[in-house]
Amino acid sequence: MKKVGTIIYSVGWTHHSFGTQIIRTAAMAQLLLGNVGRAGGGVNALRGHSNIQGATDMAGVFDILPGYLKVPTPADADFAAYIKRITPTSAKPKEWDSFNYWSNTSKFAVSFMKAMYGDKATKENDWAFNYLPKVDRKYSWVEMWDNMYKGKVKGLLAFGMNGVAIGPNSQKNIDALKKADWLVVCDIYPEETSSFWESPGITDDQKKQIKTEVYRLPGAGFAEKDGTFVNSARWLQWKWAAVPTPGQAMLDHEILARIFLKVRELYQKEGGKFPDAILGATWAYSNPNSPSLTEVAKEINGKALADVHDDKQTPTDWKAGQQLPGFAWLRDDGTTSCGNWLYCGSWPDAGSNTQRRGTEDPSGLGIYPNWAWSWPSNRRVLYNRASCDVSGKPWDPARKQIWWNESAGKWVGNDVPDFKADSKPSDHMGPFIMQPEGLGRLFVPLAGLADGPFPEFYEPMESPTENLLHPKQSNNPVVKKYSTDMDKYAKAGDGFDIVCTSYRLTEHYHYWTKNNPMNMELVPEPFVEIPEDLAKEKGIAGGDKVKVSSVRSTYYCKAMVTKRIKPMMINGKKTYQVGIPIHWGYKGLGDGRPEEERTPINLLSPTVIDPNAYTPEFKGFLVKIEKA
Amino acid sequence: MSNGTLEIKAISGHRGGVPGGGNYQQADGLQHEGASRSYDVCKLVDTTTCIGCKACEVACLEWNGYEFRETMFANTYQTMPDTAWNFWNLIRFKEDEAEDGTPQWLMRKDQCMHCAEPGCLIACPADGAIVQYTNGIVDFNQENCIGCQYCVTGCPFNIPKFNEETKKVYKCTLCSDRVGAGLEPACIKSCPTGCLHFGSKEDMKFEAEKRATQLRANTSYKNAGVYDPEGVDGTHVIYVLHDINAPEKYSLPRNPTVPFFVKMWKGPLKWIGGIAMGLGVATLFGHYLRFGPKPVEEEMNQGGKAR
Repeated sequence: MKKVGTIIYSVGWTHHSFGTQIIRTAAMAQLLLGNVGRAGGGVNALRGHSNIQGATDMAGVFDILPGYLKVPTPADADFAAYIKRITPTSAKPKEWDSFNYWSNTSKFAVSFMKAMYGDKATKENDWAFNYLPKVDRKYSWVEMWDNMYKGKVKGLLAFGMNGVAIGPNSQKNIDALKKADWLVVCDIYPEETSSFWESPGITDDQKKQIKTEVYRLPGAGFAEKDGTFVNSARWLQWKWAAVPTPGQAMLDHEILARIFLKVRELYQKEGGKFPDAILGATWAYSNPNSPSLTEVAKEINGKALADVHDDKQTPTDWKAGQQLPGFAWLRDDGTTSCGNWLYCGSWPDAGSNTQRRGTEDPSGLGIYPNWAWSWPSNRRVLYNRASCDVSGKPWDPARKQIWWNESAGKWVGNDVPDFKADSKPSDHMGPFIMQPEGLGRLFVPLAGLADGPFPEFYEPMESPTENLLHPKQSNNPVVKKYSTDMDKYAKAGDGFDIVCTSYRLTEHYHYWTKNNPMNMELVPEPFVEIPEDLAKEKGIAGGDKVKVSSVRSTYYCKAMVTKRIKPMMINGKKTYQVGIPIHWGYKGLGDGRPEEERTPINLLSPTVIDPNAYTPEFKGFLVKIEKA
Repeated sequence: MSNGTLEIKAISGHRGGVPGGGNYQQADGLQHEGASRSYDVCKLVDTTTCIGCKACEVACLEWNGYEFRETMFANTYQTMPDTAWNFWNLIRFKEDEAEDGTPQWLMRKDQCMHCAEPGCLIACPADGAIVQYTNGIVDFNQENCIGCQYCVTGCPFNIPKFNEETKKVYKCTLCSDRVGAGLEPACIKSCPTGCLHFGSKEDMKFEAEKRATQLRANTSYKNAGVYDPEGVDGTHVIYVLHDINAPEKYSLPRNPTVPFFVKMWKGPLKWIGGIAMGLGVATLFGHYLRFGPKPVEEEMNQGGKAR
């Protein structure tokens, strides 16, 4: 038990119609190998943006509230019913004790409602539960565009989300925007989405038909604003603005605040269907038009609304108005407020922990406990109880994370124990404290995942071959196919017999850096990487202009003929794969190509999403390729 | 790109001692007096952990104030075919295949090697156009450059590049301005994987050998080794290569040396030349003694007058 291994993946693993099951497979392997809860272990995601973790923590997804509280649904009659549904009850397998930390859900939820609605949320009015939207369907990315294409979604506020370029099936998104009444885009460059009306191949007549009113708002780049980045290890690291916003550009949160205040003013004046939630939201910032991110961060951390007392904590008291030091202080009686229980402790009364820059690492394990702050409670390795044997001794005495201190009667160590501090080993409490039974799960019960309790091998929705394990069900059976005239799917034998995958380059950042001469110097033009054998078959030489077509659309670029992508023998058939870096489109620095050839890559990709995480299947679809 | 805080060890086309210099042997083989010897600096490039992101290319341009240029797709990830007078740091990409057909993508950061025996400096006839600091950095001073491009001929790594407009030659300075101020070179600072290291030659050599040993012991790279060529007395940029027996795969010369005729010219030939020149002057003097001054023609004498 001395060797530990980690699995580090980047988001390519999620770009499949069975992406969640790939990640599950990794988690199962790590559980079986004893690599969870240990320094140097785990399943670690490398994200495509610097703050994806923070965005998810703060509910940048439709089915959660901040801190991974589930959203209310129309079936939740009142707050109590809602809490009952989302709070798991403890299950104690045999002699194992269980912490079941989610049993505290009501404290997190009430404190959240107090942060959102302040005095408007009271015990008497069910904590203003009726203010929260009740989510009745999956409002995920692809669904949103599908509904806009069907004419149901009439407007879109896009902040730093280039929906046309991101795709999938970009032409559907372009055509969807043509049907919208209005579009607001906040970005730092003119990009494909706010320029959808000049997409490749559009005629002047077609342009005149478009009625969509488009607003471009110049936002701020990451170096122009304060705030935190949360990395994949859950560290909240404060950063300071390095440069002022240029020209008329404004901080994003100022733009959002101004829109919100204007909307609220309209509700005040004109009423409306349901003004309460908008009028009742707290907005206690010293500059309402441009809230300081310090104030926002403190609000998320949470504070005491009345004097609170707890004998089991040190210190035992906090006065009304003081910042709280951790989520153990949160109450469900309305005496505390907290925007995200997981972030409670990031900004206590003594000041921001996110701004700490201590480089001490006393254990030598790379814990760096005084560098920034990690949720929860500055615990650097989740489930670190699993780094010890049943008796509470570290599996590896040379790499001690935490251990049971018999004389003190509690868990201590180099890391903050992610465990009930006074639960003695003989009580056999399970280390996986967020599960009601305290155990790591190989089996996902209760329809936790849409496609079943165990991972299964599936082909992508567009595949050149059949799944030998079960040819009658080659691909994921619960993946939804979309049904508009823009949703076309190729089958093997349709003439689209080359596997295509898309990816990012180290030299470029998404669809931004095509505006930047330095990145464009490094990689100036779009290209497709093709195997030597395929190039020979098609008479394509390196540098030739080519057309890559899927059943949906065509992509123009140059060919890079490479030894690095080899033909594959699949079910006895020689099968080719090509790879396309994503970073180009019809906006950004010109590269000498005619307008109609400045195509975004996601014109090619299909409207297919993973049924659990709703991530599009960018890592496998069918194309053909020819010389342009 | 000279820097006041660095101690000069050798100067191109320069007679006599080095100002402020200590006792040491200059690259031309002569003993000089003056500067105390400080430690040698060195860049270590571990090609086995380079991901070819080219952040170092950008950092180099930004620090040295050169503009970004428009490039063309050329069936490669390599930014340009070669380094240029205003593009000193280039990642060279090569698609290689192992004997069993396994593809291997080699990436090598190409820049001035800062040779201990710098062919450029030895070849240079212009006083003070090229200096070698005691820390090993070989630096060009464009204000003294006469544009003869002998340094281009002298370099076994094809590094110095001529600017047709200014008629001067330029190359990587190993960020002598940053190093002189106690900072690491810009390329080192920008590296996201830590494949670029900077420190004393001794330390870098130790780290490089340690890494090569690790590669030989724990990976399939049984020929991993350190590139620090003896032919130029070692370099102040050293590499860990997957295969030390095939430096050509990385477009590195197997055994770089200062070209023979450059050495001859600045060594023995210099003295022979000096003697020859002395003999010439003596002959001229003898000619004068024997035949007297050449009579100047009347017309030429009056050529400047108005007619």
